[in-house]
Order: sequence, then structure tokens, then C-alpha cells
Amino acid sequence: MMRLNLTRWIAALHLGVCFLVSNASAQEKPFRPEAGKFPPLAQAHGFRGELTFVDHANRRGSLRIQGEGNYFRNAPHPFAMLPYGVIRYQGAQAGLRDIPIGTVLHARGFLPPDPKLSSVPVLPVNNRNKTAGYSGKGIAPAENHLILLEDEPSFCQREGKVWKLQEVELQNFAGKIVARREPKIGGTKAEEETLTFDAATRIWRGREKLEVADLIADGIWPASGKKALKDQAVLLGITWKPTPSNIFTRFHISDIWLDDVAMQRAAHNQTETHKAFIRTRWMPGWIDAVEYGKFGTATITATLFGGMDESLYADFKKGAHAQMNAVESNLKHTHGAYSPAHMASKGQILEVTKIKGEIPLGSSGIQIHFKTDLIIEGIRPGRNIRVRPSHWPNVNIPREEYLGDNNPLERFPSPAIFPRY
Amino acid sequence: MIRIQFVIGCAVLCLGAVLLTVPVSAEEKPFRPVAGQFPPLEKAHAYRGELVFVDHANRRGSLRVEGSGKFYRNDPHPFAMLPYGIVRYHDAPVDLRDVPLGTVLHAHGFLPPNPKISAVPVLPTNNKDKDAGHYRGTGIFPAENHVLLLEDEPSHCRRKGLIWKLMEVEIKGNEGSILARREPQKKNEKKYEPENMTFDAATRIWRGRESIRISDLINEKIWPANGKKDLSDQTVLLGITWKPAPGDGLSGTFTRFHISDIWLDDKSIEHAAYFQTEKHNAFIRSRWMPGRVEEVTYGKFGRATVTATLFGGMDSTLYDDFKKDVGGQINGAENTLKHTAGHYGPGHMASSGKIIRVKKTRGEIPMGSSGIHVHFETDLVIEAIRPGRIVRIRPDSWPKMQIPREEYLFQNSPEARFPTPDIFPKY
Repeated sequence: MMRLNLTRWIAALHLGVCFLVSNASAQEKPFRPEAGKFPPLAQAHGFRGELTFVDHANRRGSLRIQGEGNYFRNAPHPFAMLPYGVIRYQGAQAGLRDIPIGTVLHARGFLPPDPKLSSVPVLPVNNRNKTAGYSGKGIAPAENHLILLEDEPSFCQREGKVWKLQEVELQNFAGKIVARREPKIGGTKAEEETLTFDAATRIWRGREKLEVADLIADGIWPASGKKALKDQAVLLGITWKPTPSNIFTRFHISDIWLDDVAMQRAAHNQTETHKAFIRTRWMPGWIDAVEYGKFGTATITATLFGGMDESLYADFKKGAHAQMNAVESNLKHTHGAYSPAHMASKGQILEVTKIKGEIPLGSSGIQIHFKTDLIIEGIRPGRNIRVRPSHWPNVNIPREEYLGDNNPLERFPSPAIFPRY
Repeated sequence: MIRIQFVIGCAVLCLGAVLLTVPVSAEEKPFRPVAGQFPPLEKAHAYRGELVFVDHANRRGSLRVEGSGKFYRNDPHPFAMLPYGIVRYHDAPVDLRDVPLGTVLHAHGFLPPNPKISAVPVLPTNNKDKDAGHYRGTGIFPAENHVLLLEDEPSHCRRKGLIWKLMEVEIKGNEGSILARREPQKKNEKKYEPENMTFDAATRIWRGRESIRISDLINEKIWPANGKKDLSDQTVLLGITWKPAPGDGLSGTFTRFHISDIWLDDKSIEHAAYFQTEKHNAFIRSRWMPGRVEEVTYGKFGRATVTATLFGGMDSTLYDDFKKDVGGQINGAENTLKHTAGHYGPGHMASSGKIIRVKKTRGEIPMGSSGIHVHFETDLVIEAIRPGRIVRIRPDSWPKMQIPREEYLFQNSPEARFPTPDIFPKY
């Protein structure tokens, strides 16, 4: 009996030690994205802020993140897009270059996958819980490697939400709107938010771009005073401006899309911009496997990154000729002085397979099997590539979008460009 | 007689020496803007390029400058706005942050006024004439990188009285090319070279207050779905960007610009200018009107009367707010127009007082200046409000607000006052 008790005690002690060790190791090793795996969105840290700086060639920039305190005091916080990170603007795919400075964006970020190679400052893992004076908590999260960056209408459409306008108050074509962001249909009532607008706010109705003055002239809004808007469902573009009267954080409405047609037209324009961009810069992806043959031949399995327009993926067909080039984590081509096609591996797409089940954000769920007779350095499992079906235009890309002379600073941009405040 | 000849000989020698010295010293001392003066626009070097990088907080960025070679190979070329430099977009005053990356801009630049504190790389003064090699040609990295005027295509056309005349469109699948000439609105006998530019399904077309696209023009039978159509010199304004054009690096089109926007009528460009003007008016009201101190007359116990020239290029409604006897504030600012203090709002440390006189310059007003001089009396003049220095002024009717962290200095960091060119990558 005593022996049994002793065994139980030892087992309990062992189990306890195991729990302690696993907790400690969980604390010591916080989650970081791993090479070759798309990290689950559910594990990302979510925050939002105003875009204040863009280095689009290196897929990085800065956001002024909304925290608990005085918003204006929050220093721009550097972020980098993960290679498979998705950017959306006006309900469509976008590059960082497409987003106007000042746009308020929703971000989902992770700790740097490899801090040694981070192109933005590496911060203590618990930084998002630290209080920064009057700025409050949450303004400088260490989760600065983003898998998703989207503006307000993109965020709302992904989450099935709209802004329901409660009341407008205006004078001299400027004023405030009280609104709630909540599910389009059903759901619980959300908190009311007060946002400002002014004469520069663009109002989109069908294919019309209206001024606040037009709504007043049409008798839809009063010239001055208040009007109840009875839960009018719209989508909003949101920016930030300094606010008088010691208001810590109040966002500003840059755009109002009054109907679906107006939003769809904006999305169409951005989609076409991005499609032309990807066709000239090639579809990004990563290498899952390489089977080497003789005399430089190889069969490569690659997963195409996600978030693009369907028509681009449709161009990857069995039997199609294509080219594949190595790229860096910032998706810069490793060669390009004579166009990326000059050094890229040529070959044929042998097979296109689609992953069944849930596709993680960042992935398209599409794998291509590509056979080349001359594989170049850089096309190795875990590395990033760009692929071009041969009917996409063969163009020269601008100087800042490819590497030259194998300069380590170009391959691994330093965080030194970000000012310290 | 010998003495006279000697004197004449000396005079001729002296004149020759002077004549020789003038070109040498002109070569040694090329024109640079001088503190306290607005440099004449005609002395600026003009070029155009694609906006590829913006550091709006320091009023600088990079342009891919059009030269004589292959455009795509041209490294982004850093530029800094002069404190009184004007940026225009959609025919309205703007801040650099308002200009989308990719926009092709016309620039008028000077050599750095003071190379020691240049926020962008200082280059040999004859750099604009050098062949950059690697098929890039000449003119792609001028030393005249301190810009007095930066304007997009429609702003450039409206300022110069120019218009684009569309000659022919060739289209297939919502994309194609347009042949057009940029020429003066007023007819003259001169022949202007046509330019071939691309467009695609993302090109925005503005008609009155409508935002339409290529497919709408096709549906309305204005453009064909496929093939060519003569456009008979239709007058429009164009927004211009750049996109890579097909070719293998040695062949193909070296430089072909792309049409981002077409304004079909005056109402549509005026509509665009209205939105941008309103945005900029709100911006200046919250950041204050920039200007330069001309003179300070000191009184007793910190009192002073400051004469300042307001910088130009703003909407006239902003200047109208500077009136005699109106209360206001004046704050020190840097060449980047950053406020020198702002942790509790620029109004916290600024000199408060009253505008005692507003004077307008008669005659031609140089670019950069508004021609408006404000005489401002304060009972406590702060450091930095000195002749030649940059200031920002706010009439009391403008809202008193906090400005974002990157737009003011704090703890007197020299790096924040004088940003170094280190952030610009070397290619």
C-alpha cells in the first residue's frame, strides 16, 4: 500500500514537473512562424493604426498604433510584411505602394520568424503589454511581422460587417458622424463611435463621387445641425487627423461608400491595378520540395501565395510553359538588370493540385509541379520564389525591386532606417 | 606717351584678368539658394520622374528621374523640398503624403543651399550632365535635388496653360495605348511631338462628378472594344504614372509612361482640385502656415515685433485669415517645417501675440513666397524666431491641436533637426 502511494506520489510529482516545464518552455518559446508553414491567423496579434511610412520595395513601413492613451503621441511603429502576408485595400488585393499614407489599417502580426534577419526592430516579446507614458499600452507590439494588413472596408467585408450611421452633425461642410460597426445582418449591437468628416470627405454613390455639399444640395443632409440617419448601412474609409479639444483618439472619415455598386467599382479598380502588378512582378510562392535529376534538371513543387485575384491563379495550367526565379523574404527578385526572366529557370508546369479542406491565410491552396532543365541557386525547399506563366508579359522591373551585385544589405535590409523617437 | 600706353596696357590686362576670373568664379560658385531670398524659378534645373519613396515627415523622397536611357534601370534619386518648396497634385496644393507612389512628377530643383546640412546626398554640381552608365544615360541624378516646385501632370498643364490632345486610341481587352500631344491651349503654329502612352482596365476616367472606366466608354460606344479609333484631338488632362513596358532589357520600349487618370472636362478636374484643396486647408490649419522671419525688433522684457513672410502656394482662404489685430501664435520650425516643440501641442511653447499689420508685396511674387508679410507683436519671443529662420504661424481662429509625434522635435536631438541622408539606399 505504501509502495503504491509512493508510486502515485512520484507520478504526481513527475506530472507536476512536466506541467511546470511545459509552461516554462511555453513562456520561453513564444509562437513564431516557421519556415515552410503558414502560421494560423488565430495565433496572430491583432491591432490597428494609421499608415505613417512606407518602404514598399522592402514590403515594410510604420503604423501609428491605437493604444489606450494619447494617440498623437504614439511614435510610428515599424512593421514588415511576411513573404506570404496579404494586403487589402478598398476590398481588393493591393501592394503597400497602393495605400495612401494616413489610411487606418487593421493588422494581424507575429513575432519575427528569425529575429536575426528582421528588417524592422526586434522588441521584447511582451512589448504589447508595456505602458508607454501617456501613450498607454499596446502601441509597440513585438508582433510586427504581418500576415494580414487591410483597410476598413476590406476588414468590414471580410468580417461581414457594415457601418450603421446613427446621426450626422455638421456646420460649414464639416462635422461628426455617430455610427456603429456591426454585422450586416443580425448580431449584437456594437458600441457607438464618433468620427469626424470634412469637406474633403469623398462620398461614393454608384459611379458618382460626391461632395458633402452635394448631399446638402440634394436635401439628404442638413446644411447645419443634426439629423438622425436611422442605421443607414454604408462602408467607411478611415484615416486620422489631430482633433481639437483634448480628444485622445478620434478617427476621421476619408470616404463613404453609400451602396454596393460604389464599393464594387472601387474594388474593381484596385483589383485591376494589382493584377497588372502581379503579371509584371510574377506570382510569389515558396518551394515545398525539389527532386533533382541529371545535368541540372529538377522537378519543383511550389505553393503559390494567397490573396490574389482568381483570374491570376487560373493562368497556372497543366502543360503551360513558365519561368521561376528566386526571391528574398521581401519578394525582391534576386536578378533583374536584364529583367528577372534573364536568369530564371525555364520549364513546364507538369501538374496543378489544389489542397482540400481549409486553406490557411497566406496560402492559395494551389501547388504547382514545375520541371526545369536548369535549376538555379535559390530554388531550394523553404525559399521564396516568383513564377510567371509564359503568356504573362516579359518586362524589366524597376531598379529597387531586384538585387544587384549580391549586396547583403539589399538581401537583408537593416532596421536602421527607422527613426528612434 | 609711354606712361599713357603703360596705363592703357595695364587697364587692358586688368580687364582681361577680370574677364578670365568671372567665368572661373562662375564655375567655382554655381547658383545656390541664399538664406532670406526666394530663388528665381528660371534658375532651377527642371526634370521629371516617378515618385518611388516618400519620407513626408522630413519633406523628402525619391524620384526615378527620366533621362536619356532605360527608365527602369534608373535608381530612385533622393530629393528634399526647400522649406518654401511647393507641392501640387490634381491642380491643388498638397503635402508630400498626399501624392501616391508611382505618380510622375515635374520637378524644379536647385543645388543644396547648405550642403553640410543637406537631408539628401550631396552630388557633384555637374552630375546632371554625366552618363550614369549601364544604359541609363544622362540626367538621371541631378545635383539639383532641393526642390522648389514639384507638381503632377495636370497641375503642370494647368500652370503652363497646356492641354493633352488625344489623337488615336488602340485597344484590346480593356487595355491599350493612346497617341497624344501635350500643347498650349492657345493655338499656335508650332508642331508638337506626339507621345505614345499605355492605359489599362485600372485607368480612371473622370467626367463631371462621375468616375468611369474603360469598359464604360466601350459600353457607351465612345471607344471601340477592339482596334483603333481616331480621337480627333479631343482635349483632356492626363494623370501619368509609369509601368514596366514589355521588352527583354536590350530591346523593347525604354521609357513609356502610363495613364492613370483621364479628366474629360473642366468640371471633373475642378472637382478633383476641390477635394485636394479642402484636405490641404485642413492640414495647414492644424500644422500652421509656414513662413520665414525677415526681421525682429526687440523690445523690453522679452517683447518683440517679428516680420515674417508667409510661404506661397496655399489656398487664398488660408491667407485671408491673417488680418490686422487678429491674435495668433508663432513657433520655431526647421527646414523640414517640423515644429521645434509639440509634446503638448505646438501652441504650448509658441510665442503668443497679435498681428499688428499685414502687407502685400507689389509686382511679381517669386515662387515660394505668398508676397504677404505679417508683422506680429509678442510679449515673449522664443528662441528660433530669428531673421532667416523658418517659423509656423497660426491665427487664433485656427483650431489648437496636438500634432503627431513624427512632426515635431523633442529633446533637441540633432538627428531630428538635421535628418541625415543615410536612409536612402545606395544601389
